[in-house]
Amino acid sequence: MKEKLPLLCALYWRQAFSFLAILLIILSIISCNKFKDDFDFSKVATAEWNPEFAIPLINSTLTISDFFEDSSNLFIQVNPDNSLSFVYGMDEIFSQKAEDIINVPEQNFSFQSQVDIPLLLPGVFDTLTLDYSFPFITDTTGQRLDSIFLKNGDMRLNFKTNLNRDEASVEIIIPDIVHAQTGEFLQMNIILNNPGGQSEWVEHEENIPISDYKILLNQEGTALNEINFLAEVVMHGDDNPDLSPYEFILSGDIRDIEFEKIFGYLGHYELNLNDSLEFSIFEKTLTGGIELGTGTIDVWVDIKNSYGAPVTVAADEFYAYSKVNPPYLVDINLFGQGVPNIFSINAPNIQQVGQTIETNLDFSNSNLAQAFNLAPEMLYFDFMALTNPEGDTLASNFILDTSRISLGMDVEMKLFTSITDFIVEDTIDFDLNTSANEVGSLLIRLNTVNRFPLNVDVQIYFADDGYNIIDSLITNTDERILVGAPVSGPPEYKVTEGAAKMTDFEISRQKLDRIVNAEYMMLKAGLSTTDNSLIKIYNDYSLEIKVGTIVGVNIESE
Amino acid sequence: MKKQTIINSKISKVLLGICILLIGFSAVDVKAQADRSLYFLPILPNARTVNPAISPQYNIYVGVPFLSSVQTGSENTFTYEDIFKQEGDSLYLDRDYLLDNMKENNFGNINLTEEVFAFGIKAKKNYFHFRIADMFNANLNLRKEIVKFFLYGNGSEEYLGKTVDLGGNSINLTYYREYSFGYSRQINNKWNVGANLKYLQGIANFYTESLDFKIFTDPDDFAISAQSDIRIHSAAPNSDDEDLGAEHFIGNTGNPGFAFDVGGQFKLNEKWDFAASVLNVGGITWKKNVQSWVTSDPDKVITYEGFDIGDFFEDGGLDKDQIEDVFDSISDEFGIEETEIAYKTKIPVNLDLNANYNLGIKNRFSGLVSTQFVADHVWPSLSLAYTRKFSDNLNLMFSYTALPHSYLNLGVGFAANLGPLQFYLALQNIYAAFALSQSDMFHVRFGFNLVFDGERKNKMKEGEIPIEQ
Repeated sequence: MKEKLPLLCALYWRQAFSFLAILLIILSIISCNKFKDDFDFSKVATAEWNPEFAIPLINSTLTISDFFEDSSNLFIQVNPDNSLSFVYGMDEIFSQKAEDIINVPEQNFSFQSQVDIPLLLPGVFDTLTLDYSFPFITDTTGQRLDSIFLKNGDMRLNFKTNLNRDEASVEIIIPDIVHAQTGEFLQMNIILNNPGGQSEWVEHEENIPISDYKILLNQEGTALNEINFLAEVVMHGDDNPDLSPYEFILSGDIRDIEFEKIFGYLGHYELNLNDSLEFSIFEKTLTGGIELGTGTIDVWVDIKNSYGAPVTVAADEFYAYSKVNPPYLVDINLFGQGVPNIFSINAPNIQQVGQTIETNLDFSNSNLAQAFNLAPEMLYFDFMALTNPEGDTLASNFILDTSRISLGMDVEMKLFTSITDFIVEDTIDFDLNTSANEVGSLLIRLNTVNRFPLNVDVQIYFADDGYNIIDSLITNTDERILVGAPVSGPPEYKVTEGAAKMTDFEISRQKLDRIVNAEYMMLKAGLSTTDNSLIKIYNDYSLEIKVGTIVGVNIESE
Repeated sequence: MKKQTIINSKISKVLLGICILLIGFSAVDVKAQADRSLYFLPILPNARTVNPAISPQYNIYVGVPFLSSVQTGSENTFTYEDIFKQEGDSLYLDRDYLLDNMKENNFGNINLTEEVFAFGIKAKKNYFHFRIADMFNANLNLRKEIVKFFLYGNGSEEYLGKTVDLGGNSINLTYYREYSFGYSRQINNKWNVGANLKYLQGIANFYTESLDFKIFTDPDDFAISAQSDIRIHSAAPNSDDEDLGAEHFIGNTGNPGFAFDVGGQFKLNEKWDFAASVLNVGGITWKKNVQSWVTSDPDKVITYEGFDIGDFFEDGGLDKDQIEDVFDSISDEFGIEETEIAYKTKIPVNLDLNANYNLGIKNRFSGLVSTQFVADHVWPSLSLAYTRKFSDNLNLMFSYTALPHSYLNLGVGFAANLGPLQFYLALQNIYAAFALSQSDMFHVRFGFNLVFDGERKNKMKEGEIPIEQ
């Protein structure tokens, strides 16, 4: 037995070891299956909970320049007291140039003389002077042209005679057409030799450019608007028979006349100046007007004139226009109710030939302030400038070919006004193009410190690609988004402290699902001044805006 | 009777062989024992990896390539079922359940060792060893506060208006290959000493040198104030413009490192012997495909209050791409800079203290205090084991291991030689086989070696009793 005991123990251990090895195998198999079951992640679902993440989105301080910026027609002016004005200006507009409205017509002339000429013996000569004149045709009736400096023009001259002299000539002198630099008359010598009287007529034609000449009319001792010709015919005696009377025919024309300068009395010419001045501050207006304070609107008209003639300007049309606020159109009276909108402008004098003289006009008696209560989106004018309005034919005018009138207009609108229920609207593109499945809830918090004296009620609409409204952001429309800062009384009407406001917008999951599919965001804001009172906008006003959000992430059972 | 015993012995061996083969082929799903188990299976030559002073009993051993030592394990302060709640057939990720089961500080570790090749040669009192092995180690230190913060969100009542300290967390992942040259020497009948010198080939790394972050969300305007001291480093096997391929794992020599192990064994008498070792003293310098994220000024409190309203609009419209660009730039607000600079990491150091009491030549009782030093955390464990040495060819062991937050880990394992073929399998927490999802620790190790006793077998010179584990 004693010998068997160690063997039995050994056997026991070996069997135990075998059993253990088999057990380990079974454990391995079991653990494989258990591992697959325990770690089957396809069975994992999440219980519903919504972690909330807060994040600040926007932190901005906005000043007036963030809402309006200088542009080609707007300048934001800081006044000496630090208040602000919007100065709207338009690009200078120009009338037609003088050369485009004043025309020097083509001139035609034809003179004929019949003269008996005594027989001349050979070796003897004689001179025959023929004196002609013709009226210079002007552009308009009543013009008195003293001189016309030409920059272009041609004279065609034809001389014809039946004089039968072997040797003859004619000197044609036009004392009213002189060279602009040398002062020499326009003249030409034409040979009229007709040896043996063989030709019945002797004729000569010549084209003379006269672009460097000036035409002098109405010189002392001459008739109104006439051009004179002198023809001195020099004849030498010969044995040809006397066939008197002889005919002398002088004809021609002055054509393609372009002037460089004209002096004289020009009469009436009308020059049109029309344009419009747009006001961006009112371009988004949906409805509502404003009430401007005293002395808020100034209009400056700056007219430059290089016509050397008296000119008046009449406003055929001058009005403020709004497409949303009745009465939609208000006529502007520059000088008061019932007073015609007509005013004179300065003109250069004779010593200022070629210069442009400025006229600055400030219409402080106009009704522009009342017109601006319309919150007009533009000012329209149609001015007519008239030369020589009095019709004084004795007046001495001058024009250059480049003479014209230009007009510039600036409107200064001091930001001194009261506003009640002024509604503006704007549409901006909105492209999130995403789903909001992961968002369970959304809170948007708006913190503002408003240093503008303006109350703002806002609504934001979300629209589809057809501009159909699908939802709005703000459900509690009674709550004011921005409260206007309190304002001191006159004369400063200045904000005394900022107005702080915190507003929460809760957006449900259903609303968010609609919003993310929107294509446009339409903002509608109703503005009114603090207590609907008069306020001024100063340069140091600002709006601090902070937007933050708490997003509830949607983690839910599947 | 003697004849019957011999027959039974043969049958038992055959059964044992079949079991070994079956287990070997289902090795993927088999649970085995951790490094601690190598102390308790004295016939394993692989024990040198836990104490370089160990001189195996074989003149020669060769690890079967890729199968000589396959180990994986995980030690955590939480279990799978601490995270997911079972209700019927479904598992739920429930916030309150998860937070109730979390401790203030939660640690996790996953490690994998795949020994590519190993061999050892004994020459009289000297032992030479060579080994190539791929090592992966991941450590996580997660504070409950940060988990709670992300589950509730900074916009919840829990955290809105409060300063939250989200620091004290770390994630460290290292994948490297070690080339180990080992030597041990029997000084005398009582002392063995040894050392391993290792060249480390770093392959991939993610290292949080510092991950301190304090955050405050203003309750009025939701402005976020943060103070951070973040130093995170990473090294990838491949660069952004390369597809990941085998060459990035095999030929990657851009991240060199060195480490060493030292150990000693002391045999007091026939009954008592002691051992101590310090493992993995060293580190890796990461230079290739590195990226770092560093807070530029850790003392600075940075407040993000939102962007300018104009940043959200482009061409007069509110655009999703524009919004995304805005949010992408938020990280720039917190002063975290991205750089590409080399950095160094240390390998977790192990300190093992082992004592064995031999009751005869077949029974041994062992105690092991094994402590791993990970960054600034200390991970100690205590193991007690009984090993039955049937012969020089067969060991069976049972163990008990206590860890911080895990006190009941019963393990079992065996090592057997069938001729020159040696197979072993050890599992440190047997309960994990039945309920892995409820276990916070599991370790499995198995392997195949070819062992050759040479002249050592049946020779035991007086006074020359080798000191074995």
